[in-house]
Amino acid sequence: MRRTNGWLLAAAALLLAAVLPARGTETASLQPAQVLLITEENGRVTARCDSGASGVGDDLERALFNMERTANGTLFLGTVEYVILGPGAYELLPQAALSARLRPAARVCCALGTPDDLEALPDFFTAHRTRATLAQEKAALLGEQPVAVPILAVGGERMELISGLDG
Amino acid sequence: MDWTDSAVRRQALGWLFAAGTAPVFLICAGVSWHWALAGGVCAALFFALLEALGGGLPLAAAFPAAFGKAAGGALLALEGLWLLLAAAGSAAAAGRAFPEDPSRPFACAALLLLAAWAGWKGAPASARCGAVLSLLLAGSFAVLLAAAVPNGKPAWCRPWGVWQDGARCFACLLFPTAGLLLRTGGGKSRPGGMLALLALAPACAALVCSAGLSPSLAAAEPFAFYTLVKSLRLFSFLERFEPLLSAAMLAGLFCMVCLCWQSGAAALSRACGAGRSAWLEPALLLPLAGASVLAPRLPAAFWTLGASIFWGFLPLLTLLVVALKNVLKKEKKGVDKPESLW
Repeated sequence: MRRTNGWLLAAAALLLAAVLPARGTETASLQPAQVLLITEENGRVTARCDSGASGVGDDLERALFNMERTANGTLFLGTVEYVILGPGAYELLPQAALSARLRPAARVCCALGTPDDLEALPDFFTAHRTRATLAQEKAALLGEQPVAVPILAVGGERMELISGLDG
Repeated sequence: MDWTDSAVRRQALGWLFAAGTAPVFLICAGVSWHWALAGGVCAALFFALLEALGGGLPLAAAFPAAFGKAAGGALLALEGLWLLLAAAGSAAAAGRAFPEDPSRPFACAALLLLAAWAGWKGAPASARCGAVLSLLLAGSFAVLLAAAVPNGKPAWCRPWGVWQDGARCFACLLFPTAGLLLRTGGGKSRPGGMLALLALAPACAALVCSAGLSPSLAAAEPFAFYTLVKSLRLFSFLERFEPLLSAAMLAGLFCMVCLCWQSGAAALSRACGAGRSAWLEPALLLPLAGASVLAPRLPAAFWTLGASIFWGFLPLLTLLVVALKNVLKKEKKGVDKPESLW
């Protein structure tokens, strides 16, 4: 009896596995983003990440949605570690802090200029640790003490953090 | 479950610990640490009092002893119905363990199916399973809490919140009453470590959560500990512990559903004067599935009030009446040793 029940359960599990929708993803099409650059021009928000994907929209959510939709593969925004707000996009910080697509632990900074090489930024921020995160910005929006957002000066290939360095 | 056997008692305590991780990290972690501490200490004192009053008397047997066969049976049936509703509520909460997964409604169904199977196997099998899971959950939550400590800010450790948070913590930490209803025998147990854990663990989780997220954010998030885990950085690198937390929450909720389901079924069958049937718990699967759809729509005040009445007030009243009856009986017999009342 007990053995029969075990087989019945195994058969039910197999049936469920076959019936439930499988959500497989081709490994080669995965695009984990590490850096997200947000800029704004003429009321249009542009989001660009180090994997090469980019999207445009009326607000940040739409730009991120557009970027996910048009990416050449499956874009992972949950892996974004650094959010850079380019010139004109500083006002979008609250939108970034409240976005459910981005991790609360992602570090945030404002850039004086648009960095060209986004792939170089993770190494730069590993060497120059900053403090402000999206979670802290969200807490500030809810009434906590605001955290000073670091400012990244960009001039050609040269980058310099001019405030908000950790330690 | 006969608690005279030390192995069975340890397994039952492990089961209670595993089940307790669900309310601690789902509810208590999102309130201020001082209200969580107040709720935890009150719950621990309540169980110390219940243990002293009961003196090893199984709670299910105390109902007819206190209120007579008919009234006691009716109250026990109400207690059983509440426990089944709590089981449905816990199963419905399984979706909260996967806040970003679109297929999260399946978690509730899977949990109910697993709990029905566990109920068919009986309480001793569930206790053994809970004991094994308790070790796994202790390790998992220790890792998560340890990883969250360096992210904390001392300024965010300040007390905050309202007294209703403390009442909510106290009510949800009364869940071990379900374990007392499953106890069929055994003398006084000394769950000192368990009571200390019940008093302190919710405050620890709340403190780590508040310090890591800020009081405002911890209060605003529906599952604050999940947001905290998403916000973790170790050695300045992002950590992705959410799958570990989701799996641990599901295991904890499974233990909670089994505990409430089996104690509810045991209370109902005892109230009806029937013996234990292996098919009772699986037979309750469909009604519980229906109740799990309704359960999330019930307000938090309903759960707080229900838990306070059925896990707190009613068991306490029952054991007090039994103790009073024992005193009166002894006085009637003319026993002149008042120091050994029970």
